[in-house]
Amino acid sequence: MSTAPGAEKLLMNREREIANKYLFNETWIYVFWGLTNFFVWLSLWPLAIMNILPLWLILLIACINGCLAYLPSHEAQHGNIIRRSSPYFWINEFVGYVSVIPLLTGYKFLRETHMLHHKYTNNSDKDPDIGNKSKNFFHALWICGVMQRQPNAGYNLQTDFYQRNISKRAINEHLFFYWFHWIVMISLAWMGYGLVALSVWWIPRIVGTAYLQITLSWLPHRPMEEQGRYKDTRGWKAMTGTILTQGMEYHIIHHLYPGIPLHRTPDAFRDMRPILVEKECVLDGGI
Amino acid sequence: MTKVFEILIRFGPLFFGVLFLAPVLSEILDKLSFSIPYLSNLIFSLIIGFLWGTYACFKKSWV
Repeated sequence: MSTAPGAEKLLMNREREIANKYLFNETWIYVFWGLTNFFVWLSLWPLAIMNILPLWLILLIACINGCLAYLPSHEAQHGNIIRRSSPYFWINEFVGYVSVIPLLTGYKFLRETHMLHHKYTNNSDKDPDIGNKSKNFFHALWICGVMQRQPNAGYNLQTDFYQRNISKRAINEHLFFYWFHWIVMISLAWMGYGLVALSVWWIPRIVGTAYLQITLSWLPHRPMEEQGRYKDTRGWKAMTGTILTQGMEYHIIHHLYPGIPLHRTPDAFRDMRPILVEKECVLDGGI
Repeated sequence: MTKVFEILIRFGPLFFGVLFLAPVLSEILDKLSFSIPYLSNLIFSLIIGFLWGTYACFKKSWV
């Protein structure tokens, strides 16, 4: 369905009007979410080392922590928690840094790669998330659970594109953190706490990252081939529900208006749905 | 500094195999009361960690 330029402008204005209603609302949730999740994860270390809880339970809780670790940082990456102009903007950055510690990724590095993802969504050369492209769910499990965990996986930071677009500071900050983590893990392993290190950080990081890559990256953009404002992301009704997909059914709203916080995207989606239909967006499963 | 990190990353799987995987594997074998003749669990785990880490270094894949 093609629309005339005048109607197009009207539609865009209507879209913006709706979006404006949902920007910056109750974002303290992400401060609470990010910090609580981090401190629960942190508390697992003494609980495991002092043998207060069984290791299988520690592992289970830590895996949940891993799965929940990214989204508060994601809101911070977009500056959605505290406005940049506020004297309390440091809280935004603090949540951004702290919440992703269980996932072992530097916040600045995540922010810069994520901005590239928004700019070049589904571009096979420039979207940093394109490595998660999969044919179906089982293939996604293999790609995100196994192949993306190999030494040759991840971003090829040596390429000209990343050299130009990712700051040295972000890379070094990430790598410092990465190697600090390994010093901690290796020290624990040689002190006889290898299984603790494995259960609190190593396995949960793998599980959390794989879950996040499937749920937050592959599912909302599958088949990861289309490009364009209304084509690169889809809305879909997930069999596992909104909670287990952490709101990703409405990820299309996030790509249209990254300033709308995650918990407001379902309402914004419902308001904006007629416009999305008009724009021939992909809306699967009767959402 | 970036060069140092590049070298560390290049040999990352070997470091992982010897410095992390080996003591963890040894701890698991101890917990399972598993032992093989002539070798301590730690030496056995170090051999496994070294070989697997070296393989992953050159193949750029653990599998």
